[in-house]
Amino acid sequence: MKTFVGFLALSTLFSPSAFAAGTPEAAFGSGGPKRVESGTPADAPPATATQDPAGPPPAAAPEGGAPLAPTTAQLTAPPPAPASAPPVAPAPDVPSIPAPSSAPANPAASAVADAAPRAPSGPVESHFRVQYDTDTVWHTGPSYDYFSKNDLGVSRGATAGYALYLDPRLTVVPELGFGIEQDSDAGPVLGGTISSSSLDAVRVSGGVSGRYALLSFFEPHLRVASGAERLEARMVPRSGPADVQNSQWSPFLTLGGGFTVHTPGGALRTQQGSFGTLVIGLTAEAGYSFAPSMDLSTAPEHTVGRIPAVDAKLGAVERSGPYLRIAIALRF
Amino acid sequence: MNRSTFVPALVLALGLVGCGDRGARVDRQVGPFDVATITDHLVYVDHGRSEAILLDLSSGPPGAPSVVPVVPNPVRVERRLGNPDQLLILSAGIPDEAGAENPQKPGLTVLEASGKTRTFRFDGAFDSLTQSPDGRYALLSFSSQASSGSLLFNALEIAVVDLESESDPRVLTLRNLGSGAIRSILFSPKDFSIGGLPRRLAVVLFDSYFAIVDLEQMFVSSPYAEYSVELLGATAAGGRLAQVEFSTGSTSDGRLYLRADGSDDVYVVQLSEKASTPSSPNPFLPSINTQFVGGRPTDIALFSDQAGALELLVAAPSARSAFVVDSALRVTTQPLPDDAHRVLVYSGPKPGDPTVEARAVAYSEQSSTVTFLDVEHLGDPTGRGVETLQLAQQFTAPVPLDDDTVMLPHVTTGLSLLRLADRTVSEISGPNLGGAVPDVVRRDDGSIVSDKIWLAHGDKLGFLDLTRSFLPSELRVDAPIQQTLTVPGNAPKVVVTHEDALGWITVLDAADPSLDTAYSVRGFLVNDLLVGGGP
Repeated sequence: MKTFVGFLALSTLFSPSAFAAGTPEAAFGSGGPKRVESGTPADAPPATATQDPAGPPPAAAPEGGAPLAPTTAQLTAPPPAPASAPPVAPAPDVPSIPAPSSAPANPAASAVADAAPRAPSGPVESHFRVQYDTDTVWHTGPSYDYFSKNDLGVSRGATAGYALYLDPRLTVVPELGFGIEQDSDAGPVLGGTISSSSLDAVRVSGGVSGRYALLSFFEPHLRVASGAERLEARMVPRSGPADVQNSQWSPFLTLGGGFTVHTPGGALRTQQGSFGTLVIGLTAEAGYSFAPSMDLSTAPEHTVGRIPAVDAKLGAVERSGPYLRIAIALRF
Repeated sequence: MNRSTFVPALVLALGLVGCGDRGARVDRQVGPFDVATITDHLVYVDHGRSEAILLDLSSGPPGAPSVVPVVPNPVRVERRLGNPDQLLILSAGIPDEAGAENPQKPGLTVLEASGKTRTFRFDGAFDSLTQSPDGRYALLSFSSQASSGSLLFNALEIAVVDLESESDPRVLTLRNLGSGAIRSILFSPKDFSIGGLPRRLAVVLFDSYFAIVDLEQMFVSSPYAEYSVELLGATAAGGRLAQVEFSTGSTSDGRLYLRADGSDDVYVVQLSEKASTPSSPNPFLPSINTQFVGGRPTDIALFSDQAGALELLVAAPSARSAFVVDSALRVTTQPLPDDAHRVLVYSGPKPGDPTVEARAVAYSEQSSTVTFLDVEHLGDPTGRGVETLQLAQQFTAPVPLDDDTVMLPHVTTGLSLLRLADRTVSEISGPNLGGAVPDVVRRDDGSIVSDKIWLAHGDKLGFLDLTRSFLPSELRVDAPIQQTLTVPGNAPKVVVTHEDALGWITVLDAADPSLDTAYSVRGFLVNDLLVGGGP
């Protein structure tokens, strides 16, 4: 599924249409320098026949292309001048508009006029962001070997943020996230003395990231987050009175930086104008996660017997390490 | 690369960055274990990890255990005789074979309670260890089940280790006179002498012959050659050498007494002093006397009479008699009321006679009768000096507990305790006593350190206090007991082990066992597991 989503994102990203629309000026979300989209009311000529005589002339036909059809407004006859009013000579650079006839002067132009999109509703500013995260922490210490067949601790979760600051290039997004890590694939260790082990974590975090729109589809970012994680380590001996288990809450801090490649602004807009602010991106981020180690002893998870017992110290499970985050992000 | 493969490849590549296999120590085999005790310490010898784990039980619950590497692949673990603070660990090493990362020669590790070790190395992967009674010498040999992974293998190779010196072990190949495997190895007692001079001998018994090895000369002469003596008379009827007794004292200087299963004779080997030469490095010469005793001996034992002369007591159930062979090889016959295959010699009084002198108990396993013999007064036709005691239960091999007490485990369940001085029996009923652990420890001045018999059954530990008329008591621990061990020391402990892959023991005060002073230790086999230097 992850691959599918990634493929979907990248397919969108690398589609020719996306590249065609993906100029800096058409940048999405954080926006390009001009944050301008063609056809927006703020920048487009007024769609009315009562044009300012000094206004821009009608758009010329593209070179080598079909003549641009006049808009519906352009086809509307101006109201007749009052009889008492003195005749006003048209501005010399404004061509006179012929009176409409009952039949379209140009059937093709009429058809185009019927299919024209409705006016867009506003600028593209994606304040909200949600993403599905896969965080892989590289545990280089020996303690983690007893909980995983490799050094990688993978957690999956989600993050949601809202852009409080939107600059043409810089965006600052506070965020909240959670993640779940379940490492229980170490298999038997010590020749089966420990038949299985597991290290589970549930993380909640809050943080802030700042991203910079370098290209219309590429944004590097920095992120800092901290939170707490509920750790539960368990070892199941081949024989014995009970499992070895310990759990605790502990804080953590992550510092990282990365980049996002995403669909340019407006690339996902439908013919009806929907999803104009939607962006899909793929984020890669690397950094370091700081977290205190978790001590383990052989104390069984429940009291055994009535004779006071002394349990061996197994040592600490190291939790700090460099990490790599891969995320599929949606902004809207 | 097309689009459909780009993303999976990207994710895979990122995931592989920093992906490392776990350390080899994680998959190291743990155990099996040999469990032993030395002064104030419990020792788990881990065959898989080739290390000894020491728990200091001298004062309360132990801290972190000490982990001491030993020569790989331990095969035998024994407390050193006469040195309760040392453990002997015989290891096969790692043969130099394809795939072996770190080949090592076989070796004998001497582990002290402090954690210090000494290692003696040799070439043969011996699997049998026999100590001299004083613990000075260790003789290493191959058992009949031994097989060698080496190219060449001689089953009669032995090595002698002087544990009180730094000398390298001396290796000797015994001569083969026709019968293959070593049956047993016995050492002369410390006061054995030849020509008035103390000699330390090891006698190696084969089916039809025996070898005499002078342990001291072996470290002096090079090359050294042992005496190999064949007893044709013993084996002519299919007999097999079974027992050897060493004379002590001046009246029977340098004498060995041998018995063979299936033979009607007792063999007396006289070792006479001679000069040592390069071709004959042993400073003694053996000569053999064959002594017919009137029956087929099944057991022999030496005792000293009131005059200090050494005499041999012989059990011969085929003649329903016991025989005494004096130092001049004269034989006295004493008929017995019952068959007796074994004799147990002791020194003490008897009811009505407070004289401390040599006496014996004659018995047969699987019987319910013991016969007391006043061995210095046998041969009286009236039967004086012979007294039979009937027990209620059949018993198996007796276990001497101290100078006056013998434990007779019943064939079925329970045990009987025999007081030798007053010739009385206390019958203790209980479960099968295969795991009964006698724990009788006296100080040099004779004061009692511990005087109990421990018996584990299920999660209960029973004990009989030998100083209090065999008063039975018991207490219940937290889990079924696997093994019961006694820990020597000024404050002796008794330790019971429980089933737990990570290690679980309960420690009790041997002098005053009580749950109030008991404690358990768990997980010591994986202490510091998560630390880099862990197991």
